[in-house]
Amino acid sequence: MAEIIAASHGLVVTQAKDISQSSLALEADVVVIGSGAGGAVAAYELAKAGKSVIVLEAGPYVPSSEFTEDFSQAIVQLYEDKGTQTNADGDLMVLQGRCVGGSTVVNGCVAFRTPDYILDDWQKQYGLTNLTVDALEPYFARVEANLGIHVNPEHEINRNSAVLREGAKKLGISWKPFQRNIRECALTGHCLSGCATDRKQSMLVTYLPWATAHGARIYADTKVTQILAENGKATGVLAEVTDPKTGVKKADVSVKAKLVVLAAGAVQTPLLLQKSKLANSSGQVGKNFACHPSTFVVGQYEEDIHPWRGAMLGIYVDEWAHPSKGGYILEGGGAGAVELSAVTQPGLGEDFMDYMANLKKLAGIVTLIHDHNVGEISWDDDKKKIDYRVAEADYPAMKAAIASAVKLHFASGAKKVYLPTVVHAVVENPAEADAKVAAIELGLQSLRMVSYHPQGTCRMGSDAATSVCTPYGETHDVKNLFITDASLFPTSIIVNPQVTVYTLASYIADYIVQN
Amino acid sequence: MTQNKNKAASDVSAALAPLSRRSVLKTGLWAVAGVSALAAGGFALLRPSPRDSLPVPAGLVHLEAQHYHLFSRLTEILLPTDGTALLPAAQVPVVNHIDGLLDALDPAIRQQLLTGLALFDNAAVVTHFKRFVDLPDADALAYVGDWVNSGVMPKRALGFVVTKLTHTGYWMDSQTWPMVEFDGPVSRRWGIPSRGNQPLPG
Ligand SMILES: Cc1cc2nc3c(=O)[nH]c(=O)nc-3n(C[C@H](O)[C@H](O)[C@H](O)COP(=O)(O)OP(=O)(O)OC[C@H]3O[C@@H](n4cnc5c(N)ncnc54)[C@H](O)[C@@H]3O)c2cc1C
Repeated sequence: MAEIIAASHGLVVTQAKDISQSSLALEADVVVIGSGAGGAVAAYELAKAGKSVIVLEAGPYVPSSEFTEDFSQAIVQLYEDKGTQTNADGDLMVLQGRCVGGSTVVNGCVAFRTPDYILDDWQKQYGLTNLTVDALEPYFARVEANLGIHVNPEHEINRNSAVLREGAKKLGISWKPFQRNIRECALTGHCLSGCATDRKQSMLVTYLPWATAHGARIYADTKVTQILAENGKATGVLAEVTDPKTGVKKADVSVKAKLVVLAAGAVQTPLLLQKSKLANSSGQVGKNFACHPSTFVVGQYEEDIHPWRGAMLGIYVDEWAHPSKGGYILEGGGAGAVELSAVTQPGLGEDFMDYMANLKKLAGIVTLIHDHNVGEISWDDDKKKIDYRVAEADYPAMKAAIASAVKLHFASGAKKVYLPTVVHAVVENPAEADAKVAAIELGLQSLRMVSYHPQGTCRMGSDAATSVCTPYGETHDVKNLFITDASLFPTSIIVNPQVTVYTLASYIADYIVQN
Repeated sequence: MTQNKNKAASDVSAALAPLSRRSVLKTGLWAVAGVSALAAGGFALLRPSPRDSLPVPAGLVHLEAQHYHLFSRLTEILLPTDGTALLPAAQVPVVNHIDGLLDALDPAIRQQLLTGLALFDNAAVVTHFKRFVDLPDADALAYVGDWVNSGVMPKRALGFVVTKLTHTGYWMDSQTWPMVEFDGPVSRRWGIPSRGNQPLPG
């Protein structure tokens, strides 16, 4: 048998510009919706097992040679809604990738296994008794090997993270270097604009070219509009090809398939099921949305930090990660000029320009909390709606995370700390930290929040009355319709989610092949 | 007079207060500018400004002359560079960049924002008897601060949007980066080769 080899650069993708006919009828064993973390892994594993696979991706194919390393451009080029996706209240940006490779193209490379206590909770609360640490161990190991996941060596810990590490040591709190899915990191600090030199092991340079090497066909600019089912079994999808430059529809597509794998991400997956009127006998489709609402706490130092230089994410503090200790983590995170101009309100006019003039002396901490699954994704006429407000039950974690970040900055040598509030709030010295943080009035338009981690809108569970998918990712209601993306998570997982998605997708793909 | 001003200010707040309802906010951060749909009728272009007759550069797609003058004034107020090593804001096409940023918005939300900008400019007539674009520097800065730090959510949100757009319109310009040692794109400059695709796993 001929050896199967992946292309050395780029991907073979059918794009809108390649399509001249107004309708396309395709057929395959499996149609995969979305080419991000969940879709790409499922596509490769199923193609490798000998199935014919078609991947439909709503976003464009942007080869890494076109990445600009300019965040203002990347957000328009590579992100959902050109980076303007927010919750309904408008106080939380919800970032997702929208391109071939999905969010994995723009993510920060941080790689965590699902915490044991989260898997325990899923077993106890949701009947996911199959997803034990032992059962998932080989899948984690496979993903980690495939994606070059390794602990940051010293040279991948930038100055931003190095100063925070010193502060953590002084405070005697637990910190660790991150693990990341990257090979020979070029230390450019531009992860969120896509890795222009293909060092990040995103789906664009791993599972997708591997899937095509095994015969999978990828269609970009192709948005699935409906999932089809007959007699309780999935039978295929309908989709539309749109020219990304003009927004004009070019073709209707239908794909007939024995199996549909839905991996459009935790916002689009429930929307598609709702539109298709499928898999919702539990009424849970779109419910239980969580997103790790995140803030960026900036400290100003005397020394030069240059927070955009080096690997973007170096170390993290897990002292308070366990839910019994607070349920939040702090991540040492670099950022560029445009991002730093937007994450805080250091004052106006001269105060703002003074903050920016000291840009190279700033260091950042990302806060992530184990939020409750209180949000909901739905249609509001023909527009999507992300109804999510930080639950009052999460206010203590949100404040504790910010307070700990402020303390860590001061312990690390910061001269002042800018709170991530919409209104002006600067902590000038450690003595006023607690009072200033306590004074933050949480509620609408209070914090500058971003979510990088939408999850949980089609949760797995053993009980069909309270969950959308079985413990093996198949929808309870529609046979041969599987979900492999972040919408599967029954609860938020505290840590960055990509490895959990890859692992669940690998596990579900094996289950499909074996059954 | 002060009493009148305070009364007028609370009138503006009152006009905006019911708009903090969830139903009004539902279309997202940008849509809070939609408050103006109610209020702008009362304020719009109440006072002509000498700025109205100043030239407007060609090439703006979304912003009209009044918005251009508003953001020009915001640029002067929010991006002071005199006496600093920063690039003078006047040398940066801030408003053109803002116009470009608006491309990304859903057209309906963009329209609401544009109306909101008119409200922002004209609401100053109630408190200061002048449009925002005509306020002296200190008053103009205080006016923006009043919006940004307001307890009235739509007002705070619109203040947030105008400042964020102005700040981003300046800092997204690569000419501003060398002064703060921000490196910008580096891979090509440094000649870093692409690693390409990872070979298939064994
Ligand atoms: C800026 C950013 C930074 C992040 N950093 C990290 C990190 O450091 N570590 C980490 O673990 N996680 C990180 N994440 C999160 C991580 O990347 C995601 O959790 C993960 O990629 C989710 O996988 P998914 O399959 O659910 O969705 P995605 O990877 O988002 O893929 C969904 C795909 O489906 C496509 N799609 C949507 N609708 C349709 C449709 N109707 N038809 C066809 N295609 C459709 C989308 O365009 C997209 O390409 C980050 C995310 C972002 C946005």
